[in-house]
Amino acid sequence: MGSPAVRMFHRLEGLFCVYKPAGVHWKLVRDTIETNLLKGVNATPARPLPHEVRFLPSPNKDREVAGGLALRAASVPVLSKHPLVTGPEFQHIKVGVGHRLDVSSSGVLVLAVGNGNRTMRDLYRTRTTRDYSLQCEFGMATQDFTDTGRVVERSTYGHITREKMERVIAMLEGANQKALRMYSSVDMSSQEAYELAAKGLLGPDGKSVPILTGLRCVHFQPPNFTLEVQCLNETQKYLRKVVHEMGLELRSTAVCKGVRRTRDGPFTLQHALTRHHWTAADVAQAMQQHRWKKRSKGRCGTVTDKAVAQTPGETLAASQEDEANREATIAELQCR
Amino acid sequence: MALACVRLGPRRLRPALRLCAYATLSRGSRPQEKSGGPVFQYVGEHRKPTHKVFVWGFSFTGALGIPSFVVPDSGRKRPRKYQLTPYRLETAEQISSAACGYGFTLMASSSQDVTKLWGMGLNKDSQLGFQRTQHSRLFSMGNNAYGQCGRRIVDEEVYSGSHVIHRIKGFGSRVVQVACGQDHSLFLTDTGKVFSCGWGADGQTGLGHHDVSSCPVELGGDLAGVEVQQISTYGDCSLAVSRDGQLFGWGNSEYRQLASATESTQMNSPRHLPLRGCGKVVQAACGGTQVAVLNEKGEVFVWGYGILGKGPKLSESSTPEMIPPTLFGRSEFNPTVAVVAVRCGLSHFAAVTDGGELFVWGKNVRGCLGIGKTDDQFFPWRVTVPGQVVDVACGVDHMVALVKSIL
Repeated sequence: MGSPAVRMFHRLEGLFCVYKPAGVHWKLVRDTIETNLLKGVNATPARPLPHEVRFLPSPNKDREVAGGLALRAASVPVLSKHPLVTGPEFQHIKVGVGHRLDVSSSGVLVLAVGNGNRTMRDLYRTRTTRDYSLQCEFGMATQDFTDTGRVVERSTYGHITREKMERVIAMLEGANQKALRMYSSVDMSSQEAYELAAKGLLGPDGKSVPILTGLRCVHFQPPNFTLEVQCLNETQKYLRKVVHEMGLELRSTAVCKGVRRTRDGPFTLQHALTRHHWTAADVAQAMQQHRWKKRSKGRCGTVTDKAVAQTPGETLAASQEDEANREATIAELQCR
Repeated sequence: MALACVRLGPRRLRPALRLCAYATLSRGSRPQEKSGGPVFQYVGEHRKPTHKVFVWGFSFTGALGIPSFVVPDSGRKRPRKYQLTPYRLETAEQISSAACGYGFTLMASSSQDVTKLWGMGLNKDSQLGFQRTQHSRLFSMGNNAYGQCGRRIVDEEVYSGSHVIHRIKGFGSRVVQVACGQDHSLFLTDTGKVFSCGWGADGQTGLGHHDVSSCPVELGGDLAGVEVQQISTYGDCSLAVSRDGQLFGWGNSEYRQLASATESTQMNSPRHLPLRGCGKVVQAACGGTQVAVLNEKGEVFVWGYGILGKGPKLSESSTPEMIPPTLFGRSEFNPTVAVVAVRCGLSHFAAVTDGGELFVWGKNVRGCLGIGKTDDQFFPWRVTVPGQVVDVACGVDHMVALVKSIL
């Protein structure tokens, strides 16, 4: 139908996620991905140049033709369609970013290409939560709540035990659960509110204040501790502020050394592409895997944020189709 | 590594920072450099949590114990009729237990050799009084029109301004719990026997008759030979929980509170209530028209009439209905949340979880739920209290919570 480049372009439509390293602005990641995708699309072997019949002057001087040049028909390639004349076929791909990550955070960053942008918008309209892992340290309070900011105060932390930490975490979770119910737009005196609350689905629709739907301490060794947070409508600066406030509640001080997003909706660290795999082929494969996962999840009939375990038969079929598609893509790229 | 440690008391603010040396700090100073700048210590390692009292509800009766709500002490303040969120009550001593009546509150504080009783609120029938008691003596005061104080009824006795505090005797063993209904009283001894006195027209005294009883008499019926661990009553219905987890009830059953044992509207003798699916009952709480029980797994069951806690559609039930534990905070992040105490006011409920959170639901009479609004609450809702709730007492239009600070 179209050229191999156009076919490749249409295959590159969907959602995938990358691992954004710390210290890099998210826009740089998005631009790099766009450049790599364009490189991959434009590197597909070009269609052979069309030929047209042109009448060229004949080189043979022996022939004597009365009144005019001697012409001969020749099939020549149309130079105006040569890629060096027209330029690359694609100069722009729409790559959109899901929930952003600030410069010092790292982790899963969801990107959408082409029509995938619409899918991503619909996905984020349903309530999705994000998982973070926060590395924190007691003993310091800084200007911007990280360990590299200007130190405002230092304090002791010898009195902090795991039990006190659990109590503070329970209190924060209670306050956030209440916020979850308060910011929902459902009328509290209706039966619908009770049914949603009993299932645990009562929550805000759309924009609201940042709310932590889950918080727990997974590693505690003073002065270092690690928190796992599940939240919605958050920013990474808010999470660092939560760590700072937790330090204040414990009558000490705390800073956040690192924020790492481990899950964004259905995308986890396992699906994230690292730096060396930001090429068109890997991206196409990642998109295909996500499509298969979504299809099999739809067949199972459950609608949850986390991935549902696939049955062995489906996994086999999925992997076989994956293999076939991967081979087709690689074959296309290899034949130049 | 010389650190300058500045020791501070728990309530004092930080000293003026001009005195501290922030000499070498610049933007992006490395955290490894521990020198430069003092290290503050706010709390020592052996700090114990402080105990506080929070009150909320209708304040014009004085039951909240805050006089500036009724008569403002400064020209700028206005009288506050309803206190819709928990408000800290400053007490002279640490309060160990509290109880609420209709428009008044009693609190007890126990120190080394004396137990003091503090009261606030309406005193029309002299239900409040100041006294000192020494372990295990039982005193009663207030309206004795039906003999609920456990003393002989005097015709046309004037109760307001009365200094009569009657010491009740004749129980045989130590009384460990007292429960007061509208016009009757129940006493529980440490041997597991239940005594009652007062008005019995609905059979709430459980003595087998519908007359008034002015002296405490032991209960029989199905309770004979049963060791009771907790009694509860509020209006005209009474409940008792035995040590092996069985529930007994007697009194008014107009709202189907005792429907599992009888179809009639009154029962004047204690009967065993067979509850299916509730497990071993650990605690029971009786309200005006509704009943709640707690089983050993931390699940709450409700039945009766009124706002039961399962949405606006369920307004009456004669069989126990379990409230889903997700409403008390159970989730996949917190799979082990359990309720440890359940209390009833006249038309509302309160539940305390093992994490120290307080949940309330029911009719919001003059702001008694403490959730910041005056609308009725049809399913359990958290009350924001700064600390962990240890105990709660429910009155008709106000509540008192005993709270322990987190650190």
